[in-house]
Amino acid sequence: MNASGLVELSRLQFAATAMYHFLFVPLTLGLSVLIAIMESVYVMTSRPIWRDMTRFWGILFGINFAMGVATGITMEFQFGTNWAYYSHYVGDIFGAPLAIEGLMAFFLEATFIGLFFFGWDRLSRRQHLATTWLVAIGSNLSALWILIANAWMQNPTGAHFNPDTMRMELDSIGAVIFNPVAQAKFVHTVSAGYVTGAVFVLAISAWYLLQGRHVEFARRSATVAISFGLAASLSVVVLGDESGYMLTEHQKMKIAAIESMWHTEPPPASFTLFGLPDPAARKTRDEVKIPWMLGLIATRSIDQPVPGILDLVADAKQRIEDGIPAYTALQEVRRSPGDAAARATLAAHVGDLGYALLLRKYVDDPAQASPAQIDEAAWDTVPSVRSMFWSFRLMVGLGFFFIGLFAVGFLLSTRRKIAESTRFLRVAFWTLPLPWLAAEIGWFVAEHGRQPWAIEGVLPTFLAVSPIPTASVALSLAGFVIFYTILAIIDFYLLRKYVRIGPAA
Amino acid sequence: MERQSVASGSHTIPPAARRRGTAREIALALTVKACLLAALYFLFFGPTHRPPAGPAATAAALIGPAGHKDQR
Repeated sequence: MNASGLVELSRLQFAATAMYHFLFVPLTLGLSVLIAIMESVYVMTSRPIWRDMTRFWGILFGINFAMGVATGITMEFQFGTNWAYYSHYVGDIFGAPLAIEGLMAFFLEATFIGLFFFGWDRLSRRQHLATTWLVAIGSNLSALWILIANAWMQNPTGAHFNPDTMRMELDSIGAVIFNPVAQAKFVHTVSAGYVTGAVFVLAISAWYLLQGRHVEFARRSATVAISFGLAASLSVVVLGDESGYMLTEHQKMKIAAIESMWHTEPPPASFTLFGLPDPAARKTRDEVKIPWMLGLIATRSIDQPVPGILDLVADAKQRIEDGIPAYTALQEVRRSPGDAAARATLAAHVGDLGYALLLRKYVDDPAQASPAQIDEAAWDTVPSVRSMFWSFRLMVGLGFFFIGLFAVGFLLSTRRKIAESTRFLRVAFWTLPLPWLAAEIGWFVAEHGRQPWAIEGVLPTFLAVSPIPTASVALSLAGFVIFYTILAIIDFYLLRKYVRIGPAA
Repeated sequence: MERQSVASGSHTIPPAARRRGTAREIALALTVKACLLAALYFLFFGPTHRPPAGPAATAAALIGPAGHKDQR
């Protein structure tokens, strides 16, 4: 297999582990808050049914947490082995939030999860409630640090390139933490987790109600899930809109690909509700557009254009050409560290160095690149338009479906008809896998849409990969598949077993 | 009815014994997972599997042999 095969296999391995890990994360985020709400009601009302609800959903939370915790650590294994140049190049920035997340997970989350499970008979009600909220806060804060790290890959800020150490170095931890992309991603991601938790509780409660088992328990659980889920699903859409605005600020190509927008959309920019992207012809057929909507989402205005793929490729071409002097200057600085002129040239063009690196796919020395090679490299900045277009619409469609589901559930719940509405309960039960599907698609849009960059505009993915034998990546990928399959079977077995037992568990 | 715990008396196995069973199953699953993770680490990701990636190696990878100080 060639070098491109090694890159694709390494990407597949990382994607597989990340997507598997994210099967557990959203449920942890959502259930932790839901059980904290249930226990708060228990402490306020002293009704045992709320304690039983907290304990039962707490057991399912515990199984999910036990199976999910540390499945993400395999991604960190891969940074050192499969992505060695990436780790060196950006480890100074990327390592800090990952380390903080690890500390937070082990010292805050893990400690209080222990107290949550083993503290029922040892802590007062209020102390136990505080513990449960700290579990929820700890889980959400862990997510924050991971998303800060991820957001830095989408919008690298607060750092500069040091040619002597050949790495990006941190200037401002504040800029990394308060990266606007991180804030938008965090609220969007945790809200999606809350929807997952709400759908999980609602679906299992619906199953009990359909079977006529644990009716009072299931009715109350469903009511909590519906109220929480309605607020969360509305938040996902509103906060997702904020993520869309951030894309226009920092990742214009991603939003152009999501919209399959080949030409710059003049103001007021319209949103493509439906269309058939045709990348070969560089056009979108049979478009159905909603006037003004893209302008409002992407620019918060009706008087600004939204750039299309063709114009962005032209920009990328210009940046590649502007980056070539930085590349040549970097070579000079590496040969002669005292060369002040080369350092000045590098400093002047360093912002486009990453674009010049795109040429390494076609030519050993970018300074020797032909116009055709520059053109090819510029077109590499366009992610897969068709998959982005459809994935995004599927994710958004699911988001609106959840709003509809919870809105109907809310109406039924306020009329006290939820236990009798068989059709709603069936739909609610079969909705169970959909939030996971939406979350995985969301990550696909975020990460696949970032290609060809490992770090947006700074480091191309194909240069970040380690020079290790392809066979060893294939072998470790097989190891992951076996490992995760075993875990998935255990997880499914335990969850199914305790759901079947019911609140008596 | 509302004030009665739904957990009480709805199963023949005493709650304490059931909780011990749950704890045992989760502990077993965690042990299996820790062993598998350790196996993955030692088989594929330990220090011997990691390529060197200091400034010189990174320069060579990103900007070619010309960027390696030793290539002068």
